[in-house]
Amino acid sequence: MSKKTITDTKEKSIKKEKVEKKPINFEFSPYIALQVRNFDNAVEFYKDTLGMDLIKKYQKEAHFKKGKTNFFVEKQKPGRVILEFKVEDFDEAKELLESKGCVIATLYNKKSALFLDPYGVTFHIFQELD
Amino acid sequence: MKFEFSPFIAVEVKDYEKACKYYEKVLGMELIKKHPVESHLKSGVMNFFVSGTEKREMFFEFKVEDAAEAKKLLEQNGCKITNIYSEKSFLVSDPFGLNYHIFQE
Repeated sequence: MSKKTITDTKEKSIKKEKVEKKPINFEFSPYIALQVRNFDNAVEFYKDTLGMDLIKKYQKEAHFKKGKTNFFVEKQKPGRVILEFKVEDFDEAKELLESKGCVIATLYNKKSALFLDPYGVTFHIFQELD
Repeated sequence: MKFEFSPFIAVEVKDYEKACKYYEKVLGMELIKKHPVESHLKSGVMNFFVSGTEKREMFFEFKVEDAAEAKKLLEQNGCKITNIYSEKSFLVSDPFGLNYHIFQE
């Protein structure tokens, strides 16, 4: 096989790989984390005034449900709202997001992290552990 | 008073054009409609309205049966009305740092 043929075959193989690479599926998860001030009062307000179902209250976090959406109200510096996406391959998603200017704000474990995107939105990206 | 969570989230971002492209091409959201200053995207069951502003706040949405009654109740509980679109549609900021749109059909 000539050198040119080997190069052509390699190029075709690379092109094929690029074409066939499956896009990452970011699946919106019905979980939204809300960071609020006056945690205890906030929990009471979301439960009693907005009528959210309080599933469980922890010391610094409360799990609510409203319709099909889950809300985690967190005792934190207020204002940040965190959306959540599930991915099939966390490492691949991390590489893609970082290449697009996202930065990791908190790494929870090997398959779960908070990302700040370049436009001001915070996302929790995670892969389900086996 | 029933506050029904509506699957719409309004996200204010910087670099509006780039942000729309990113949410569509990278996060794979479906672009429903693009306007000059606001775009409607969808991911699963959730609708996102992305708009370009300096504030970068996020708004949820609740549907109510009686907007006037909801406004009164929210104000009694320390919420501030930040924008009134009509008698049946307004923006509210709650005492804990969150913002939402309340509307009556």
